Amino acid sequence: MQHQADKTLNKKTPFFKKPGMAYQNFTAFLKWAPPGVWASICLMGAGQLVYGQIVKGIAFLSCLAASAWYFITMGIKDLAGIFTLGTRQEDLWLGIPGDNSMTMLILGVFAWGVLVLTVVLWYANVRDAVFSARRVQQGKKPRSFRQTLRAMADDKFHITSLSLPVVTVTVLSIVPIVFMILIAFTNLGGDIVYPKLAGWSLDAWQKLVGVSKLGGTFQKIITWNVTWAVSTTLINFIFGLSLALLLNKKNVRYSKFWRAFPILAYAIPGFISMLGYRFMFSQSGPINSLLTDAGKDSIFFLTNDASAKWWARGIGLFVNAWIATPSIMLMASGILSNISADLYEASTLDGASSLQQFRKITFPFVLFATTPLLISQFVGNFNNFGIFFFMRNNVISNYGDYFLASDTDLLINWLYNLSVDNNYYSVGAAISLVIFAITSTLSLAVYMRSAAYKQEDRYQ
Amino acid sequence: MKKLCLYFLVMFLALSFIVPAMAESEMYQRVMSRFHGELEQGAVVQVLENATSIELGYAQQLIDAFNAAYQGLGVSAKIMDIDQYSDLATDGPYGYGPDVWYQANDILMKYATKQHLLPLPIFDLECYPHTPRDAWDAYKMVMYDEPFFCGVPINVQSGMLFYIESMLPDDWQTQWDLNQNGMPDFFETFTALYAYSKAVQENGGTTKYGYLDDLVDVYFSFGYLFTGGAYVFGSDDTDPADIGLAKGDAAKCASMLRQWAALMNNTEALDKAFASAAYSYLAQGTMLCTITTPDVKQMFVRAMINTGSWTREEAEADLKMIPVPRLPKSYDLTGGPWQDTITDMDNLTTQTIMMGGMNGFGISAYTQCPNASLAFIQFAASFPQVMERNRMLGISPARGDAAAEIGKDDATVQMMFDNLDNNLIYIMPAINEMSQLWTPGESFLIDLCTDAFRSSRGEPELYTTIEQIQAALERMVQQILDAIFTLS
Amino acid sequence: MSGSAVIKKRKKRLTFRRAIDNTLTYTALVFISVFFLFPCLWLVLASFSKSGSLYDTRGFFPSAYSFQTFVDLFTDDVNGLYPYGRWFSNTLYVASMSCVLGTVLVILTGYVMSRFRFKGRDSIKQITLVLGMFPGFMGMAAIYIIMAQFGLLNRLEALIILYAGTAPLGYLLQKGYFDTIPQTIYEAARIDGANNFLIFRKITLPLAKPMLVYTALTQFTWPWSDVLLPRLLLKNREQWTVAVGLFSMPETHFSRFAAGSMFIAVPIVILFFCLVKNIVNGMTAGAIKG
Repeated sequence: MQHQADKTLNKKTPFFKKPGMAYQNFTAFLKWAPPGVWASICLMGAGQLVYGQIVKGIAFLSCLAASAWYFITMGIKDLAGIFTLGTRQEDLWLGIPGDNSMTMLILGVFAWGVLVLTVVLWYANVRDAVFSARRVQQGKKPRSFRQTLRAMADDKFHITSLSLPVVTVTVLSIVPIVFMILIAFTNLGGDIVYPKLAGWSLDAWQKLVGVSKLGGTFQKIITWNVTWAVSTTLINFIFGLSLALLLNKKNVRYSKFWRAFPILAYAIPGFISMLGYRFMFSQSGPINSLLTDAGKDSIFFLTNDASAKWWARGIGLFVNAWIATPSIMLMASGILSNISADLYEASTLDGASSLQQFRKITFPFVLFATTPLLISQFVGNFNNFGIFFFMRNNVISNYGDYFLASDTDLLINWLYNLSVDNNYYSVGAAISLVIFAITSTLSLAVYMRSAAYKQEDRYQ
Repeated sequence: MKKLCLYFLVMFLALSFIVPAMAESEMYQRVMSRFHGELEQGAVVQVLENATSIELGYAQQLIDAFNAAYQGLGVSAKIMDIDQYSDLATDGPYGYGPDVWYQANDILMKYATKQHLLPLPIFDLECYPHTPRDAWDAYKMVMYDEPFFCGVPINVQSGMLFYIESMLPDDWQTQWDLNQNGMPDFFETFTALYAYSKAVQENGGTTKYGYLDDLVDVYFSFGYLFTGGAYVFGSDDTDPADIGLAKGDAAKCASMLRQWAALMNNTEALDKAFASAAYSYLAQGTMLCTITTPDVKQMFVRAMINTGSWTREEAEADLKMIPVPRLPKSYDLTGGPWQDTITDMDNLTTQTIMMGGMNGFGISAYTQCPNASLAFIQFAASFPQVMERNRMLGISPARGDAAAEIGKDDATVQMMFDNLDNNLIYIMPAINEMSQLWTPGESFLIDLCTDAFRSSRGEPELYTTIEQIQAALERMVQQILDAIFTLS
Repeated sequence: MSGSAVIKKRKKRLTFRRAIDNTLTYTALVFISVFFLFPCLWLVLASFSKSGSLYDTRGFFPSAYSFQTFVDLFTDDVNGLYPYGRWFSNTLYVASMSCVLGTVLVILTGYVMSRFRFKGRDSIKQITLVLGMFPGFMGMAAIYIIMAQFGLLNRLEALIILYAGTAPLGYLLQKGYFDTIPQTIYEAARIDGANNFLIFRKITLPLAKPMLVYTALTQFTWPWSDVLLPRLLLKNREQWTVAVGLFSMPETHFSRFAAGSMFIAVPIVILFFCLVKNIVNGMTAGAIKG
């Protein structure tokens, strides 16, 4: 299908070659450029107006105007601000105004982003003018507004529909992440927060290497984090698969009825389940009150006692299983229904037992089909922020062994403690870059090797 | 001669004018220049009160009274309906957050040290002469080499003992009032309270426990350490490098907490959530008494009404709030017969120092209406409003005249006020580093109190000797230092 | 022994085995049902508890029941501390708006990424992959400042923009689904002269109905139950969403929490049960292809 789409694109625009490739020599391009193109090079949108494309020209012009207005009112200041991160400290008591380093950093990133966007737009505008120029040279008319609209709905459909998502993702996701990466190279955080001024430095990295408490905590947390991710993924997977198999059994009547219970658990918003379980396992909660009424010692489930470490970890696994297995079950049952019944019939005729059928047909098939799912589940569980955030919020156990973390915290919870609760922005950002380096290499490697990625085009 | 006398008189008069004027330095005047007294016309003061005061309706009463009093003066006030632990440092610069904020002094000062709260011209306030110096000092900080005060104290917060009179054992007057002073002995010394609790837990009584509490709450339990001579920060609580929590007899005092944990033998005592369970438990008779702060008094009353056995009036009369018992000088709750601590109280026991806070009002540095805000605080700190706050919430006022007035009917409030004056309340330090105390402190207390459960779980006990506790205290101090200095 | 006797015996053994199998299966089913149902039941009953606090009940079930909590939930906001009605309408507004906008964006992205080959496609794929690996909230400080600059703090619209605007990052599931639609259909339409937009509207969308439903559902449930972002961006209690409000409730208001949870969970549960087929389809298709 894609080949076809590419072909149509080429068929319809045989004369359109990328300017950079067609005119390898830049000067040659400039020599060739007719006045319309020159107009666009000098003023965004002017070329379009020259070719009579009024609406398009005005659109480009107004983009330029908006950008110019932005840069004049604040953008230019912000472009520079990212380098200084503030030069004048504010004194709130004396009413002396000053700079806010954090705001300057983010606005700087934003301004540079807008600058890049403006350049890209300008480039697109020149390309568009070149396109029209070529049409004129060939004796055709430049595209009318209606033709442009039609092209946007057809040839350029991908550009039309992707432009909005690209902008929103850039502003709401890429800019914040770039900001975070940059913060790792400043000294923001701890004592140096507004109104104090920050500066560029490698402070955070020096601390990361030099302060042994950070390293020790990191080691302990990552061990638990990997254990957690592996075990919870496996538990959920095995439990979910067996659930699906159970409900798929021939002798189960009203399987829709039985299936309703796991779906109920799946449908309840996760945070309600987690908070509910926190109440249930709390020190004065129902389980402990039953235990004490029965004359037994109550148990430290989630409290900050050292003995709660394994209880809390176990409860975490349990609650996560309660929340997540139904979805695995649903997926697995969807996959199971895809296995052709012939396979089973044939194997039954050959005298295979149901156990053999499971081992030789069901399991390999399900495993093969769900490998990508397993990977994404693993990554999701690795970064499962919610579970211990909701269940052990404000609980710090085994404080002495960990630095600003609790013994059930995953790396992501530790990062939250460091950067959101304790304002250690730069150290938090540096650690998250380290984590990112680890997880991304791992999962990219796995993903690249996974069948789904390689076979993308073969499936079609 | 006459001339000389006159000359001296003039000199004296001039000096007496100059001296106060010198106290108000040029810097002071520059900082205070925004408080020129002219109310910002049309200003609506956003007031952030705490959740208990909103829930029990006092906050609305205060706002209504202010609006009635300032009708026609062009200003009004409004409850700000954001979370009581708003983060002024992130909200303020972007124009959000309250104008006036009621909080404990440690929280207010955490923001004040970074200039997010304004210093106030306290010497000009009506409540200034009525409020003891110690109360003001809870808001003191040094900036530009000068002291400034960033809050107006309203009420003293410190641990008080709560009990319900009708739940006292029937025989207390014959069995538990050796000194015949009309106060049960077990509310007078912790040694007696320990003995009574033990008797109740072993033989049963009107309640299941005598004294039950969350021993792991730093705020209440560190009082034991302070009684033994420990302190938080050195140089009058201004030097974060000198942490004195392991100093003096702190370890011996901490061993009493372990004794309590062993006696209570209740794991709920190891969870701070107990504080909110306490309301129901006291009303249901799970325990005879517990320690908490006066501002939640009405929560107990409500829980009592909920059980159905009390009407509001009955509950208010039946619920008692008294100062915490005295601690034995031996720092051992089981050392010697409890009767001795009553008969020879002055020699064998010492008054318990409790950690305390000063709740009060501060003004955000981001406010557009500092003068209206100050007017509001003046109003809220006025005698009638403080009296009303006491009536509706049960707080202990920081104003001397209010404390004296309430003290006529309720001796406790006067006692609390005196405790503050006599340094029996250890006010939370007003420096930023204080925020790093809580978690290591709680972690230490949990470790210590869990020790009582270790043997039944088959684990070796860790804190059987004073030396072990001392080592644990020193570890805690190191952790606090780490938290303060590792990443700074 | 005659032949029929053997068969009879075999049959008997078979029925015996089947009986055991049935018993085991149904025991397991009952056990699992209880496992999933019990916590829900506990919360439901707690919401009908007469006394509000968690500490007034010993064991799982309240001693006395009443509807009072539900009445209080909407009529008594404890002096403005828990304005549940407002929270609920806020949540509904945010969730439905983000659902509509987010679904449009993510479906378009998934479709385009599946069907078109263009310059920059691979880099978009790689960038989104990389973005997904950063811990999400590290950008929270930045998002706070960005929203403050746009004057959107304390506004529900900030959340809608955030949820809908970042939704396209999760386009892989949708792309996987579109990959399974055979291209011959498109080719036929193309020959008939339909342009890409028409194809998308007239052919792809109807075919992708299960995916559409599933996407809309996930785009709805995420804002419906998120706590972190609303807690960051919404200041006034009046502006909160239910999730933030429930998160702020102490144990003394346990039955209020339970009753509040009912209203947030029940609509979702009903939606899920109505749409379970679509969910399974959407999930499976996306999961297999990734």
